[in-house]
Amino acid sequence: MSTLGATIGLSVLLSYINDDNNPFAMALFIMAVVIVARWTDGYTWGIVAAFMGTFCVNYIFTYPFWAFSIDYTGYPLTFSVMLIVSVLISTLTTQIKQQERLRFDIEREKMYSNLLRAIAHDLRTPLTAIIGASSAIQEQKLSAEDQIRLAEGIRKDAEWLVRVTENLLSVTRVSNHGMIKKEDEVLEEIIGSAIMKYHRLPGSLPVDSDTLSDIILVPMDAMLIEQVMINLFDNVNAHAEGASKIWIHLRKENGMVFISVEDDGCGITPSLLPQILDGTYMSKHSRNDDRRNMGIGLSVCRSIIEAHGGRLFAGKSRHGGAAFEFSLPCKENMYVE
Amino acid sequence: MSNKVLQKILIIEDDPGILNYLKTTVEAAGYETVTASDGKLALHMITSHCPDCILLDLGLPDMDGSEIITSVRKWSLTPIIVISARNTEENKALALDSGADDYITKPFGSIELLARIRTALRHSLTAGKNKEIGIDGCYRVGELEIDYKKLKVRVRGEDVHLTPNEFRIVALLGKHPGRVMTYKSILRELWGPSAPMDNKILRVHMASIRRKIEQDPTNPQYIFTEVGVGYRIAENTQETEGRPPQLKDSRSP
Repeated sequence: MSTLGATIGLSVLLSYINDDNNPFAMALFIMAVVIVARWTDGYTWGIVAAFMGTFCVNYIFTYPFWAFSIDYTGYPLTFSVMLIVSVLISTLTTQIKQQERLRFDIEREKMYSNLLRAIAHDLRTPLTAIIGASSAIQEQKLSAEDQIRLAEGIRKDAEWLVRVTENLLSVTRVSNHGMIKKEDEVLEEIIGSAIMKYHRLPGSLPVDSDTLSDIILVPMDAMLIEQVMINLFDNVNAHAEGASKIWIHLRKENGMVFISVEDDGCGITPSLLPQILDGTYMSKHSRNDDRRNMGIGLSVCRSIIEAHGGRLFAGKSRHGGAAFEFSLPCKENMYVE
Repeated sequence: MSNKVLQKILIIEDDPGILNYLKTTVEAAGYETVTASDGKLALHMITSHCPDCILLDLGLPDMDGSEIITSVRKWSLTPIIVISARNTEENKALALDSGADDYITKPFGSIELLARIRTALRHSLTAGKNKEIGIDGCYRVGELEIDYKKLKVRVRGEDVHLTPNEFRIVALLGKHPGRVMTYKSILRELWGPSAPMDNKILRVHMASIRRKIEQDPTNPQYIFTEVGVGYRIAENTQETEGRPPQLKDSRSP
């Protein structure tokens, strides 16, 4: 409605500037019809706009001004052509829009099924190991040493399962589109908490983090961003062969804060970079017995970050290994006293 | 062991697997246990057994966990440790605000569980007051010293210049070592019951405090963040595990 109103206004304005008849009025109204069709759902509003546009052009902008008339030579033809063109354009626009949405839905379905496949795969292997190990312990034919070794294996597998399920929970939190509950958090608190949780895991590496001199508030779902950090740390353990340390580098630029998790391990083969980030790497390259695949970790990271309005990048670290950097929109600096 | 009265722990948990694990672990550590699998039975057990400590799973079939906490708190100060799932920060904060002493997040190991029980039992002896605040009015943990008489905080022997509000936050945490203080309880304590529940202010204060007392704010030694719930200050007497040993050595200069 407001689009049509604006068009009428604009055309009236132009007709004052330009004394002639208004050949542009017709074009402007057709544009308005396209905009209406684009921004509303279904066909109704586009078609209504097409009729109203045609009527307006006839009523206001053609001789006799401010009266409806189709009595002049050529008028019936001109206006019926305009009507048909605008109705056609509006329906076409709506159709294209619906196709786009369909494609988006298919894309999302594909993402979900990829994710499900990754999850099922991630769950099966450790579960098999847990069942095997615990039943072996139950048989009581093993030495105490072996039993402890098996129990340790059970624990490791269970811890892995916990991480997978935590990622799953994160996904359900993100997938209600943009419904994540954001609160202003101090960045270093979340980084600190993630490091602490990571250090509880066996085999964790030392983490060295920058501290920015400003206190930066970042609107986020703290649990989810913590999950992102833990996944990125985990990722170093699982894939960066030879890594001895993890660095977190922070910088602030144009209202975004960039958090980079880097290591001094073997790095990423450049040709694999795009696949690693979109989560297709795993499904193409995993073997059944290989548990240390990319799993769902990185794709979960990506969807969490994108839900926050940020981006995830991968590249080479200044420390020689891989670097995973993500951005988040942040607020102005806060100073206390 | 036979001539010593064992401390009694009530375990309220509806999942048989977890109950089995809790019971085994707690008994192996030398406590006596009683168990309840739903809220009604639990309330009955609390009155009849008078346990020294309660482990409470928040997800019970018949009753909301915080309901149990509220009704126990009407007449008893028995320490309550809440067992909760991840991703339910609101519930944890609610449980703590209704009077639970501490919480532990599933999944957890036996070492962590037993440490929490020991901390809770210690706190019950002091009924909310920090016994470690000595005659000189100081609470010391590691190289951090909170002086309640001179209203000062020292780190590594040097005065830290905290603003009045920052000092009040540190002082409040220091009165409850090892215990999570929820955002709500800190705000209420500092600015009264009608305080605006603005966690942001508290977070910014905390960031500023950390810059002053921690060597590395992203790797804090003294004040820990419980994401989405609140803050916890480091505790001294962790005889067996958890803290690096140098913390204990450097305690008394």
